[in-house]
Amino acid sequence: MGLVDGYETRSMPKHMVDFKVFIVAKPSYFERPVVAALPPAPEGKNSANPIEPIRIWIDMNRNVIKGMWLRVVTSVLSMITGRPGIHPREISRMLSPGVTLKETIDVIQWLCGREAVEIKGKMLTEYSGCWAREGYYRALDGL
Amino acid sequence: MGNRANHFVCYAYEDPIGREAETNKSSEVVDYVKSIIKANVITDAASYNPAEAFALIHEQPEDAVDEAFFELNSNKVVAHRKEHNRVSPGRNYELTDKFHTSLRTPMDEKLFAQALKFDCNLRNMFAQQQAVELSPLLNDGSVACIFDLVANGRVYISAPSRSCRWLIFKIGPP
Repeated sequence: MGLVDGYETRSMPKHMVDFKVFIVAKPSYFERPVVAALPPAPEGKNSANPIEPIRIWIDMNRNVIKGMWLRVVTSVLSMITGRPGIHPREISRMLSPGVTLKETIDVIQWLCGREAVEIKGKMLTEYSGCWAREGYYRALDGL
Repeated sequence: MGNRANHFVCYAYEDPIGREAETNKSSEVVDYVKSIIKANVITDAASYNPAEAFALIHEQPEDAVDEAFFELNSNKVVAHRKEHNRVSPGRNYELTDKFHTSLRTPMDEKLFAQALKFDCNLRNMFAQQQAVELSPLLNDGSVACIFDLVANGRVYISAPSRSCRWLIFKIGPP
């Protein structure tokens, strides 16, 4: 693989690979968009639709289970960052049986509200492509 | 390096090949009952009310409850608890390892928390200086944050070393 005979890493001149790396801010760094306000976690069942399934992050007392909510949000966001353009049905298939399609769509809508994810088109459907936006990890700020 | 390597190497970009035909789609009531069962299992013991849980599930048609239990069992979402010391009725089930494993992804909660923390620290440091030295021991989350910042043209990375000029580089749009 391009190495000469007798090549040994221990005989490398170490000062040549020991150097400092800097991260430098550009003027646009200070113009980054502000993270949108934290929307409430979707619950599912409500008075308008009494047989809408209760979401996996909601317990019997209608309280949000923070650990589960955080895990579901990170799982969905991880899928979107790893596979740009993936649609909700594919995400729910990959995260099955952890989350259902309805739960996946709820989480993506929440992430859109948090401005961490964008979708193609005006309406989010089960076949809408999803992409992570700049600073997607900041969606979890405050959770 | 483990998480980062998995995430950026193992996942191919998706190329949708068309809509799949929907198979084994449950009815709305069965889906609702399944969600009640899962909520029942996941509720913290300290705040669990067995009577309320029983009332809620008892309102539903019996065949829908049977079907929901069958589906959850056969899909290995819930499993019967091994120990025989159940405290209250209806709580002798638990979410399976398969369920918990399905929610594990290469970028986990820890990585996002690391990215967020690095972003906050960087913001504070950039308020005082224009360039920040990067540690060679940066964690995966911090690197994900740097990738995002560089990709969006907010920062650039440079190695202005005088001792080894041949290594000087600059990553990111000018």
